[in-house]
Amino acid sequence: MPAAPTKPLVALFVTCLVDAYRPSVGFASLRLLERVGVRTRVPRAQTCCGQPAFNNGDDDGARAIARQVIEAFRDVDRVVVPSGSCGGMLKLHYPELFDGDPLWAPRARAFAAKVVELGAFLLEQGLEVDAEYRGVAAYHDSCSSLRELGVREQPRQLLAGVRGLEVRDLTDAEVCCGFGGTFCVKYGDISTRLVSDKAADVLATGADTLLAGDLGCLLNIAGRLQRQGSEVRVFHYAELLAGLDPEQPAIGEPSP
Amino acid sequence: MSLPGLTPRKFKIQAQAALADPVLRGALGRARSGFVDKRARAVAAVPEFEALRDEARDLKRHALARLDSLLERYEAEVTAAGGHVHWAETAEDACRLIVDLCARAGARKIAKGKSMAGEEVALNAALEGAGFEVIETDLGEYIIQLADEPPSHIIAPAVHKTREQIAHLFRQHHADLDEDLTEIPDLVNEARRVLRQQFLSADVGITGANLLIADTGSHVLVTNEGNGDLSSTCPRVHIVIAGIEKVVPDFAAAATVLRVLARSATGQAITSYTSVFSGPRRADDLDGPEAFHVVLLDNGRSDMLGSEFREMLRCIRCGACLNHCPVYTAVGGHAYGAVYPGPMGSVLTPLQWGLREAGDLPNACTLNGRCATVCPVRIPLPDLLRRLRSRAHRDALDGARNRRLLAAWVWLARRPGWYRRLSGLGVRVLRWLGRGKGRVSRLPLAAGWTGGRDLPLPEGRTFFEQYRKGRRA
Amino acid sequence: MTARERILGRIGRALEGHTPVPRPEHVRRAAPAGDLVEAFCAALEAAGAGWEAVARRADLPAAVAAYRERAGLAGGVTVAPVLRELDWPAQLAVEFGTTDGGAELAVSEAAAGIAETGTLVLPSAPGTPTLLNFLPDHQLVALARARVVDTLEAGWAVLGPAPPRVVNFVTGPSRTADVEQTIQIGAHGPRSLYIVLID
Repeated sequence: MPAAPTKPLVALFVTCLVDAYRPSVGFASLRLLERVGVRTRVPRAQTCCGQPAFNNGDDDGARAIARQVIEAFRDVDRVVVPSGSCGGMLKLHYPELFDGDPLWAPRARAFAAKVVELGAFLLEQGLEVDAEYRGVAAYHDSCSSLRELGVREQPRQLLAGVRGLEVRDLTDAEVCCGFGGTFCVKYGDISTRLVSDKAADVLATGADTLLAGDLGCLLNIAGRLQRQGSEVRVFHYAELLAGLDPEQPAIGEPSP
Repeated sequence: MSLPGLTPRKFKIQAQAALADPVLRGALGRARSGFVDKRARAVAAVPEFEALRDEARDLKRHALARLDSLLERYEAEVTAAGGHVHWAETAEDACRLIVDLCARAGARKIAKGKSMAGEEVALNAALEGAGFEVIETDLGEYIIQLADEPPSHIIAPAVHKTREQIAHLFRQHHADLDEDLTEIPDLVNEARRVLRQQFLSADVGITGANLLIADTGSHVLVTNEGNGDLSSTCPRVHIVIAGIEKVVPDFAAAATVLRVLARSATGQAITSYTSVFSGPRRADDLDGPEAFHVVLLDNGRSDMLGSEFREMLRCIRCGACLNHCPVYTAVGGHAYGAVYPGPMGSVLTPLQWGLREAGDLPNACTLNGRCATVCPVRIPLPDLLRRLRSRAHRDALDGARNRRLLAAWVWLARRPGWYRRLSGLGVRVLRWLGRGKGRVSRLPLAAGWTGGRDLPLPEGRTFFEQYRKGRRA
Repeated sequence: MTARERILGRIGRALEGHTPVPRPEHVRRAAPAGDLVEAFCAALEAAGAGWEAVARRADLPAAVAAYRERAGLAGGVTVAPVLRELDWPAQLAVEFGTTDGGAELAVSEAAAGIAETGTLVLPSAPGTPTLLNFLPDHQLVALARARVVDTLEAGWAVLGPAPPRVVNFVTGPSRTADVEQTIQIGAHGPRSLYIVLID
């Protein structure tokens, strides 16, 4: 007789930026996954999704990293990613990288099918948001979230459950913030112009907080806002959903 | 900035100069909002627009898969109608053919309708070099001809110019004009007045073609000004230069392309003049050219057909990708230093001029993908740009320092043990550099970032370090 | 080998091994709702053209005279030969044929009108020379109401199996946005386009 369906086994793809820069996003993700009642795992053999190699034309390097990731995440039901950009790499570009490879193409496709962005997954699992944050937040959509993963409404719907929070859209929500991975250092002047426009858009909403689902964008826009002396507080949206630790500084803020 | 020196190799410097130009910034801002909003409204008015994009893509795929038979049919029909078809393998061949045709026609003055293929082969320089007087009749092209500049946009060549700059050019070059016209209607009327005489006195008219229609030997010209039609009809000889990839089987195919072209380019359902030409003047026509020639241009297109960049041949030169590109709308077309700027130019230029010459262009892109969302024929531009980066990497054209850094990153990423140790160390060092401030305003090796931004600092202990020590929430 | 042969040869080799791509199904533009002629007139107004309706073809010369007076024009009128048989009053100083640029006001006739976009189908012919569509400042075009069709494809189909030397699909007067992206009516083609719809 079949047992009651077991909870899905969900692995967290931490991402290199969360790992190095802001682990609190990773731990917030784990708290949220627990809240929706899935079994979680964090495979140790993960470092990076390989996007820096892929975007700079090193397909072999990207494939080597991808094989490592696919192997490490083999025995799970879903792979949850707190990043549109890494999520896009895993979900769309891994199958492309192995197109035509009789062994790895099916593995990559099977893996890609499991990949889901954090907010999309939490909404799908019916997360009941129990958090509070008094403030007005501008929400920035990363290009990968919008165009590679179709993530736009999901984080907004979840954030609607945060008590005290008002979320405002940016006027030019479709426009890139200028991060673009290595682009932001290789073409720093152009990147600075793009992020200045984005920062102006954020300030024009009157928000005191900025939220997004991608650390690259967040570091970029926070860096520009802070260079301009703005006091807008910048967080990954997962941090608000999971309940902010009052001791936790916002991105770029000094620790108390 | 000296314009004659523009090359793709100097993109970064040219871009910096563009960013520092407040007049250009204003002009580009105007263009960006204009084009984007107009396209959005036009598309919203057509519920089946996405289906039209699919059909346009598939029609182009279908046509490219039969390119040879379509071109042969086109040639046969043009010839049967009394026209002549010439085949140019290279830019030089195209120029030589056209110069010969003009010489044999005993021409002195040539009226040109806008042609990007003509820009591509540097046709004006060849014609002027051979002693012909060449007058651009499209207002935007006329303006940049007076300014001796290349076009900065593929459908709005003078988008970077303000009315004051245009008034100054007219004042400089129009002999019987002795005031600065400040109002736009006056500027346009002045151009109309001057160029009217040119159409009527030109011996040869040269235009491009937006489409070639195989089953009737026709070509389609899409304009708003009427200059293309006048250049095609008034002079006694009409020469068309068109890329071989422009051919479609029949009018129904052309109709679908036209439906997505004008909306994507200018936000119009159709332009003021969409004209379908089939050969020279007929025996009983009262007007029209006596002789009609088509120069079919290869210039790397047949090579692209057999390559992983074949999809680029679908391009219908609408300019939507430029208008929606954050990089193009920040730096303008001249920064690219090439005939075709923006996303489509960043794919075409390396393919036509080589990666050594144009390898920077595919890198000057954030891969944000907005271009692909607006391309009427669904060209996967970010994928093509990435493939060019792969080629550059494979051929070691991407710079030794970049390759070393990238190789180091890949090496490290493949070894989680080493990665943990070094990243743990790295974030501690960065944290220490900030001395508790949470961010730094300067960092060695990161000047590209810190020039305009502070750099937020890491929390100080990596996720995996904490996870390994038992933290789970 | 000629350049033609080399180019076709390269294309043939590039296509070797590639499977043919079937022609996609043609997406028909939704026909305008309601009365076709009404939709045509609405679209042509939106494109910046004017129009009026007259009962009979014989009313055309009077409509032209009235337009000329309203527009404050003093010069002669050039009329397409296809309209020769109508009763043109002497004061219009009508010439029949094409124009060398001297005509201020031209009158021609359209083969069809396209409701989808408010577009006139103007084929070249001995009776309807092309330059009347481009050189004069003002152009009047006669169009029989029964000749209004719904789509661009239908507009092409009325021309029959073999197209003429040129078909001008004309939508509104000429325009440019080349100065500061600001639309300016009256570039090189006519500044004013006016349709006389004949029942």
